[in-house]
Amino acid sequence: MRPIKILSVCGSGTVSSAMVSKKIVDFLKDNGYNATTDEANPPSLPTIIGSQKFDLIAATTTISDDYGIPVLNATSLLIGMGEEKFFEDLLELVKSLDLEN
Amino acid sequence: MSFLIEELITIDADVVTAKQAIEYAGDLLEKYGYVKKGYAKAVWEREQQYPTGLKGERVGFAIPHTNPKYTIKAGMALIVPRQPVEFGVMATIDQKVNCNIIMPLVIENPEEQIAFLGKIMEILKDQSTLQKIINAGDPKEILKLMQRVNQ
Repeated sequence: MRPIKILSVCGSGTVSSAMVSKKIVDFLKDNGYNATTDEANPPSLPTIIGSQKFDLIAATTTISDDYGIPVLNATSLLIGMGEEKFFEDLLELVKSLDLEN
Repeated sequence: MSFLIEELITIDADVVTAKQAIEYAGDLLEKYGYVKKGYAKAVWEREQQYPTGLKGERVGFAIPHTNPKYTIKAGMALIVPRQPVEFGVMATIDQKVNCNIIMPLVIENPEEQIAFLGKIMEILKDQSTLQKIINAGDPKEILKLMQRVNQ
């Protein structure tokens, strides 16, 4: 099973996305999945998506374009409230991925 | 660690708009050597495009910040405004939230500071702590409640 590739996106491409990435990786690990994360800000999205294949985007900012990758709103991870719903959605998404390729 | 010092905590702050709150904090943070000139302008510009308001259970709070370009040393200010201040909600286009606690952040190294941010969020998850912060009569009380961020 290959690692899940996640792109965290926040306004500055640093703070919020770094926090979110860590929580996601830890959660997925607890559930038996490996994951790698990258962080980006909206302006650099097209470039980073063009150069790598991601399974999903976790965002704490609005993403205006459709990159054909599922986007999850990750602000609940920042405030630590409503996280359960985020993780439910994340798990559902992950289960639908083909991780053998 | 001195992420948060008493001088950077203001209660009953006379700020009405998000811009004013950010400018007020910027002045303080500059005065105490945390940021270079230009921090407040950068934070405000960023806030307009990427809002940082967050809706807690009953309380709103905001974590305006910008990239480390203006950072001298890592830290934060904490403002409890006289009246809640409206901020845009993070990751939305036009949702708004009235914020009772505004925490401009000064970031130096995002990876290292995940723990710092995590601690802030842990503290703010507790509703009774939130209320104590909002109702504090003295910055010293707030510093005590927030002391975990300095550990």
